[in-house]
Amino acid sequence: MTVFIQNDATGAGTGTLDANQGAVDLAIVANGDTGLGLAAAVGNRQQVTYARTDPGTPPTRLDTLVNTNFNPDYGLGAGPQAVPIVILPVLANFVRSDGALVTTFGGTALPPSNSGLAGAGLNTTTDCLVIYDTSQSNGSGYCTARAGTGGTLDLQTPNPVILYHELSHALRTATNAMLPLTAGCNPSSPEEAAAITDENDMRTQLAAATGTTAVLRDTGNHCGGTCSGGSSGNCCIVASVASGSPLSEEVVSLRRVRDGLIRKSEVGFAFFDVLHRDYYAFSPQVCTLLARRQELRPLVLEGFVRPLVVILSAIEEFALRIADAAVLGRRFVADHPDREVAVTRLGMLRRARDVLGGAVAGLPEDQRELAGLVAPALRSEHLLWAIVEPVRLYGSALELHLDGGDPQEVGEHLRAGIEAWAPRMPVDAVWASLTAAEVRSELGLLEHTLLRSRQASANFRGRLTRKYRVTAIDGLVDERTT
Amino acid sequence: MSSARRRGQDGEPHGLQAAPEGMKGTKDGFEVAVRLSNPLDRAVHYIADVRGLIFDPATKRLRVLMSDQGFELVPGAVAVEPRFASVDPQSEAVATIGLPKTIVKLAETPSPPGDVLFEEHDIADAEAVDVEIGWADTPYYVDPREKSRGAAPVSAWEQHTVHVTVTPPGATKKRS
Repeated sequence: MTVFIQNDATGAGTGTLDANQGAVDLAIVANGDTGLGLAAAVGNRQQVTYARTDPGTPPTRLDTLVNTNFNPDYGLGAGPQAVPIVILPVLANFVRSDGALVTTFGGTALPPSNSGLAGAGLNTTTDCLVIYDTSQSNGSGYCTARAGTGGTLDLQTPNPVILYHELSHALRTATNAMLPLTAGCNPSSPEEAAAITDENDMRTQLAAATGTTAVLRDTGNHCGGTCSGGSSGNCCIVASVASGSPLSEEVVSLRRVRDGLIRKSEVGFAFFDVLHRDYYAFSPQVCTLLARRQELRPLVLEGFVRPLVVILSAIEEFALRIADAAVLGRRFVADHPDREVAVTRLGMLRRARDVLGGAVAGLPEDQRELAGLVAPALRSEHLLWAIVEPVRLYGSALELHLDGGDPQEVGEHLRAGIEAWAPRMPVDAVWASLTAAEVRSELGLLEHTLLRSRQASANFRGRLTRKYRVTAIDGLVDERTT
Repeated sequence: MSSARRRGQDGEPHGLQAAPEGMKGTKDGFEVAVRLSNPLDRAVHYIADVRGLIFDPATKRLRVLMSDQGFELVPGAVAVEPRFASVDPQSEAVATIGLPKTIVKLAETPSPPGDVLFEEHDIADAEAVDVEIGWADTPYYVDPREKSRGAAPVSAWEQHTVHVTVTPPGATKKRS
């Protein structure tokens, strides 16, 4: 005797709550089980009844919710208390008491006001309020992270799925078993991961009902967006525009290197912070130019973006998978199966080199304009090391390949180039702020990835020591060097 | 982020500036226009979605929050990340902000047993619309470091908030 649908909103106009949609969504949760019913309205509520015949997981969960009298003791002195679960099917103009629009969270389960649980302060009742947006964000839809995609937010979240997700929260609220919540959405908090796990049961049931294969939500990622898309303003604007999509293979690859390799460590994060600032000092303007001068896109794509993707992939192979020269060479040659395409790319690389080199005299007008925008990159130590130098290494490897170098030669060239390039990485001030243990950890990480050779390691430690001679890490680095 | 980078000598953030452009009714509600000016030599990025609405019936002021600052942590179906937009260096742009006709919330007063009390506010009743826009001079990225697990990503990204007040058409008449 626990679940109700609120069918009228005292204090607000008719149509504030979409009780009919709520009943439909509950029926879908019950998988069309005819044992589901609604009692006659009492006041502004209708009690949900359920004599279950469907053995599925969502109907069984709904059976538990509907036919259990929840009497949790929240430990705040009130003793056990009855906690009805009240479903409020709202529209997109609903706001929580802290002002948050429902379109920023899709739905919520507010614990009783006297429970002390997260969100209780936003509830003015001693019921558990399941509030969800039946308008699908005014028709835009809620898109979440599809499992197995590394965070691609393209999985639609229909109303019954949102409702079932919130009923999962409601069950743990009503049994005083709520798990920890965190503000970050990736990774999910334990409470949200549990609700997404349940939500996937609902997705599986919906897929079975329509004879399709279930596409599940990533339980480790609670982030989402509206499905109408829009600008994310995020990574690699030049790559996004030049390659045509923020979901392009090139962008996904660059993002993987950025977040999976560079930014996970303190030193990498600080490095990227500077790189990020320097890059976005000119990148948006390049985007605007590319939108206006479409003819520049092939130059940016073939002379810059794709070479960068290939060489960063080689560096990733070298650093994380300990690839030797033979592997690097084979991969590089395999990445260039068509000689004609490779020759064209080399031509683009040379034109891009002129643009980056600022030799504007012989350039056409559009390329001169591009050169003017990217000139700041040539003053950034971070951009030079992270982007310009790797692209140059790629260009020399491509020349060697096209000149008839065999995979082993190309691989040796790449390995030597990476080993010479890696220890020249900018040494940021973050090194001086680290504890001895953190310095040890960061150096250890580098020496197991990018700085594997004795020479590369010695070169980098030498630079670190010279730059921070007067700091506390000086002795540590000296000690490790000897 | 150093405080020097965040704020100038007068204590006010240097960077994105906002001026009221107007407000008009639409089929679905209202549209507020704000002119954003970027005097910096680099692009700035701002939250382009309305994240929250707070109406004060006593003062008839509506706060339009295009910022993730100040929201409580509660269970939810989806942590919907906002859309972002940018203003080019030394350029201007007009942000158009869609608002519903009304907003509905749970009433401030405790509800009686067996019911839930609501409040509904007409946006048309607002005599002033205070728009708050979170922005930064780099695009939004999540922080993948282990120590940042659980942190609110968008609110941590916001370096500044720019404020502007838009007076709805006819508001002066309403006050008199």
